[in-house]
Amino acid sequence: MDPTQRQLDLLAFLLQSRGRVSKSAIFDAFSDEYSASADAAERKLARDKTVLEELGVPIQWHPADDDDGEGYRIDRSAFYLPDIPLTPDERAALHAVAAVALDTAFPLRTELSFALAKLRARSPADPRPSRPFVYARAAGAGEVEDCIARALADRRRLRIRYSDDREDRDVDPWAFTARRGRFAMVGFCHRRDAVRTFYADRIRVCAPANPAASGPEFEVPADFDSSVHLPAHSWQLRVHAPVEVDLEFAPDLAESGSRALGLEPGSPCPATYVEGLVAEVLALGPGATIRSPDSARALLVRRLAPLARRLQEAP
Amino acid sequence: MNERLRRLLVVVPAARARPGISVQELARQLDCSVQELRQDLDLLPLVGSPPFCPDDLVEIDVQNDRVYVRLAQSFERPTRLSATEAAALAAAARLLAPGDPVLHGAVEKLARAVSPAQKALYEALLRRFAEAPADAPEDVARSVDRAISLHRELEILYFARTELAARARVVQPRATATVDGVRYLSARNEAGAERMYRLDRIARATVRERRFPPLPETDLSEAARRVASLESCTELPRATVRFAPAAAAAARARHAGATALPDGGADASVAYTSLPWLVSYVLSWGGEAEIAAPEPARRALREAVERAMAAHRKDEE
Repeated sequence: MDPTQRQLDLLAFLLQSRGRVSKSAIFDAFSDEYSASADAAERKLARDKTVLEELGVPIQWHPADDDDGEGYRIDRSAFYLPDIPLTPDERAALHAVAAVALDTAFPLRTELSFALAKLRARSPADPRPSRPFVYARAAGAGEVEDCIARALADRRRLRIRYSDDREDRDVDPWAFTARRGRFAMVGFCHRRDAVRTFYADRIRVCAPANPAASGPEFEVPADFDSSVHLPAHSWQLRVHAPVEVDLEFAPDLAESGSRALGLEPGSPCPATYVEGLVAEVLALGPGATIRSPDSARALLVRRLAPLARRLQEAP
Repeated sequence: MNERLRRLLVVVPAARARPGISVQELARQLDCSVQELRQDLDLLPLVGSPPFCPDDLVEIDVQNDRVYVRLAQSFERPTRLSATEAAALAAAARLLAPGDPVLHGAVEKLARAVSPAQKALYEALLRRFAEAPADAPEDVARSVDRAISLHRELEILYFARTELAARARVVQPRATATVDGVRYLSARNEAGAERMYRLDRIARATVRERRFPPLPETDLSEAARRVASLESCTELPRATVRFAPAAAAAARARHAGATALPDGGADASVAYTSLPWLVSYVLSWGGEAEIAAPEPARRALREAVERAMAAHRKDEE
């Protein structure tokens, strides 16, 4: 018999049994399948049980007590998907974002498909949401993203070729995240001996560093916070000690300018990467200027000077 | 892990939930080939429990390529989500739509659906699929969501990068849409035109008392797709933006068609909606990009650069 069929039969048998099922009852019920020596039958049953447990089937062994003899039992409440009290809006939003993920080759595609199929099977009705939920993505993900996500789930070290690097580097993927639609991995770079952020669209080659390794290859530090390495604004990157930068906005930008930089109106910017702040200020147009410190103003001028010279010439 | 066994456990409840589902649709839902599914559908009628009489077996029929489950034999309900299945859903929500409060609520509830034995693994995975910090101020996002659900007008102070200026507008909010991880408000403006406003460019949002009648239906998905495909839009004017060698790799990642230059830099053809937007975009590269063509755009950049340098030099004096 196909081992998969036998494992499903065993599962059905355990699920339908009212009480505990002893090993001898299993061997009797499947006499053709567990017919070899006692030892071989035991080993075969143990293997089948492991396969089912890897799928999350909660098979428990109970010793004999006053109520029942010894045997296996499946906790049905831990086996079957319970009702998840999603609101119609939550359900619609979840299905909509998953549909976009599947359309754009999001990592862990099969897992995502199974999760959706299970949710649909548990609650087939499709109640009408209060409003539409729309998600869109310009570019699809690819093999690199899937490779990162799998390595992240299994805690496997990756060997990548990044951007214009001429050599590979080994990275322990600690987090997978996205910034304005761009996927990024934050991980421990063994070449730099430090935590670094790698945008997936700049990774040219990505594969497990040790294909033969089995089991996790690293631990993610408990206090690791990926948001520090991929903040909302480039001035928040932790490149140097905080520098308090005073900004000045034209009247029509008084509120919007600060907010666009992630600041409360009127408050200074505690930049840990002034160069990033310079670029963000420039993008706001002539209505935004750096008031102090002098070093930040000088940096802005220094950054623009070569560009100004080039713009005097023909392209 | 036995992937086929995993799929077989989903086939029966998925088919049972939609009697008569086509083989093709079921295969699509389960991310497998039609051939793999047909093999599963051939195997399942042999599955059951001792003594394996007809009533003890799964009864699943395929008629005219449509699937019907008559007897499910304890496989009628789906199994709990594995840690990776739940994490994949949560990751899609967190990475594709960061800051979406509805999805946030849904992800919190997913934890209840995970197999108890895998809950710790799910929590660990969830930490690794990290949600980026929200771009939009929380108070703005809250007001936007409130105005949408209450059908009330919304007054927003909006910084339009196409104008490099901020001004107040009163809009009738329809819904939010997330495009490439950025949340937009879809709304009708004072002139009755449908517009998309980025939430992170709304400095202030105030829900007004005034309600508005239901808005006519519109294809919001199409509007979101238009925003997502702005880069490839053929109707917009285009400029050649030249990136310095230091910015070339990032530019190539951002602009798929960018071409390499002999000095290590890159040229990209960039679609733009207004000159101020183009100048602002180029300056956001912090001096590592310039406009090569057309000449009026290059001139506008030169003026902006001179103005910025003068403003900061003047302050120095």
